[in-house]
Amino acid sequence: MYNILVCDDERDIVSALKIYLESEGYNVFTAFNGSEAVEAVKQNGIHLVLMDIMMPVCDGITAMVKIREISNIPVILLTAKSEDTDKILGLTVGADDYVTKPFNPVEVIARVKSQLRRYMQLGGGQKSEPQSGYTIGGIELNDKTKQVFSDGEEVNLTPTEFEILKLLMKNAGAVLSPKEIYREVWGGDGYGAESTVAVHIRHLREKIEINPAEPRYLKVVWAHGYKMENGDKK
Amino acid sequence: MKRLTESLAAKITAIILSFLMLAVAFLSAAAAVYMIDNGFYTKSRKELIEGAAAGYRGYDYLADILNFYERKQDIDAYAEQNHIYYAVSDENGEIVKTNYSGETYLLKYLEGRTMEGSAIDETSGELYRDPYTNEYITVTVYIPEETVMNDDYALIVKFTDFLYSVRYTVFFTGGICLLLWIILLCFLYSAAGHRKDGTVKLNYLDRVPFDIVTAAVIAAAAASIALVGEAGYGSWAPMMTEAILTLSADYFIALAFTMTFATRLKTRTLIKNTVIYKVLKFLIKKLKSLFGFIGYNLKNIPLVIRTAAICGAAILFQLIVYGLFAYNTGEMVVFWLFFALCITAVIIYVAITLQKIKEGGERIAGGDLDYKIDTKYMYGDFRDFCGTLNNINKGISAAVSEKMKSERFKTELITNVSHDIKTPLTSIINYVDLIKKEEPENEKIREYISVLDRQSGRLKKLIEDLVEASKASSGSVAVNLAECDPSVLLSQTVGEFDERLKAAGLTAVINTPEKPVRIMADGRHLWRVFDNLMNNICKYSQKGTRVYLDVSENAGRVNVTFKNISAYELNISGEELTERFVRGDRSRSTEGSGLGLSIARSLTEIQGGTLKIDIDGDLFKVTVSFGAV
Repeated sequence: MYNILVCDDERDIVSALKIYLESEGYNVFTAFNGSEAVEAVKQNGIHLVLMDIMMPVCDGITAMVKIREISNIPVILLTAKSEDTDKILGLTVGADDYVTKPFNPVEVIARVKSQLRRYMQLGGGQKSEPQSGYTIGGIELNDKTKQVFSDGEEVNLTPTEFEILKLLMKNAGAVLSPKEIYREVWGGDGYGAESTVAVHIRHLREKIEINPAEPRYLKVVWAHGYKMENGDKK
Repeated sequence: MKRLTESLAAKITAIILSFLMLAVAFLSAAAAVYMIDNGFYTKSRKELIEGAAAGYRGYDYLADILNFYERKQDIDAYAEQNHIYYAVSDENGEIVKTNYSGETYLLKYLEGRTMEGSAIDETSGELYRDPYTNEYITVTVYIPEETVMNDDYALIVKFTDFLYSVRYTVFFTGGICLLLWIILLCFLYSAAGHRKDGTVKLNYLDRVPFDIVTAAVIAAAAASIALVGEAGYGSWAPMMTEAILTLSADYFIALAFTMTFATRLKTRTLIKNTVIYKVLKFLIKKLKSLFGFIGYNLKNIPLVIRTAAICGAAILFQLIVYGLFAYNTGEMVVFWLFFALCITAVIIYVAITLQKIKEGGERIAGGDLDYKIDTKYMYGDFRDFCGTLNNINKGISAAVSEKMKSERFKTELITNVSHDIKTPLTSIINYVDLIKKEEPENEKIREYISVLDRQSGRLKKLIEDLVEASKASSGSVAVNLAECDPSVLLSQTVGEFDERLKAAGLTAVINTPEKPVRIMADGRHLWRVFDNLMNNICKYSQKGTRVYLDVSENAGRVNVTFKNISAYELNISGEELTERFVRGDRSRSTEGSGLGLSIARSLTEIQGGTLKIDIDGDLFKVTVSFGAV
């Protein structure tokens, strides 16, 4: 049983999130501004915080900094601002993830689960480092057993998808063009190679990312290619 | 008729027919003239044939019979062999020998001769003359019609006979042929240039400059006149053959010439496609550019130097004039020269000031709103004028900054308002979802909930698009231009849309150039442009059609075109479609915010590209164009 703190000045949003999270079996605490949130974290054994940025009394960013002083529990920011600068600001002050309003409840639950799994695995030291494989953020790839884990949960990939992911993880941080990927994975230069790669990357993103439109790891570098990077560390 | 004018076979047939018609008409006319000259309309058939057969061999028969008579040979056998009748009569008109018994004949020949008596020498058996017996006899030869007709001379008679039989019809035939010929010509001229596909096109001949064609035709005419004239000295048959062949060739040349004339008139290339026109045009163009060049050079000489040069030239001219015509040279000239130099100095000062004002005006017109004209050495009206110009500058710069401020304010307002809307919208979406999760029994509630669900989703999209549109159009988005390959982006985009295209029953056909092309753009913004365009394509395309996505390089521009067949009737211009909140269907019954194309255009423009929409019936075509690197 995990304790989750939901903090937003909009009470309706808080109760909605409470309903969703409770139906997933979490224990939910609520707060309606930043200072209440910091208090709640201090007093209760909170495992994860879901917090709005724009709040009266004490805003989310300030509260975030205060929480980081006392705990390293995962924090997911809720924000109505969709600009990249706001997201980057949230991530630099120590948030683990963010969700933009208006959000999809299913996505929020998925992100909560993912963060909790990683937090618990890291904290409990249950994680077994694969001997022959690669790890980027929450993505683990084991080349021997041909298994891929996303936040500790196994993902079923087709052999082609596996090969693409392996190639990208091997060259983590580097941008590979669709042609290069095709040459490495399929061999040769096929007709329509670039679109083929694009379709597979799309499928791959749908499998390993929570929100494929805003990937954390498998990034699309438009007009150049694709790369694997740890989007959590900005 | 339309089909006929476009058929090549019909044209060739018409050409040949027209030749035949003209030939027949010509022959008819010749025949008529001949017949009028030879009295075909006044004499009887018999007279005519007699006349024609005037040179007939009747006289040969006469001579033969006379000889036979003289030598006492068998005249009857000869007559029978030649199918003729004869009668020999003596001095008194008594018939001595004949096989004629009143049969009808066509021609009659008569000849009388004094015969020397002759006898056969009994010893040698040879004929010898007996100069003492003289006998005057008359021989008549009757030639029946059939004989004449079967003879070698028959051709002339038959020809005369034939002419006689057609002496009236010849006018009729000739007239008809002439009429048909005119009709055929009309057809040919109207059909000239028309092709199977319904267009008027030029053939090889039509593309040759018209003056060259004309010269060639004149040359051909001269050559044929020379040929026919020369042929007059030869014998009859080859001369006629040659004349006929030459005239026929002339006919076809004339026909081709007039037909190309007609085609050229139709395509309006008669004058344009001549060497003379082209040469003149070329010369005029060269002259124009020469004058332009001279003008350009003059204009680029600084105003001050120009003025000084003109003043100098004027003084020099006056000096020369004075030198030539003035009697009293001396103090007056010195005084005048001093005066002229003073005026020149003033004029040059004015020119320098004007040059300064001109430069300043150009800078201000060019958008340099901080530029100030230096008024340090200016006096009077010039100073006032420059002050006004500088003030205009201030006014414009204030107006521009005001405008920019209001644009920024608008964007900020839209952004803030949309943030405020997003919070309640989050609650609406979440609670709608919660109601859905409760699975209400009531069918109606389920239906209403699905409406709420759909409409709140739409509202969400609308707000997001609104923020993006206002940002893109006010230019308040960061643009990081970098070299990138639109072909790669296009294939990435198609990969992203693979499933949606399939769901919409669309097939994407991508054409990218062999050699990679490069443009300067911001990959993220360009993706948003392509994303919006593909979204539109998925939403509004006719099911089961193909979508053509092309990348091409042309004259230093890289064009990415998106072509699809609209499922809805587009009664709107491409320009209007990129306005905000405008959609192809004016009723706005379909999903979408109506901002997609506006966002796409703004985002393309802030990257320095252009976005153009062409609508041709149901074909919807968007061209995104960037300068090639």
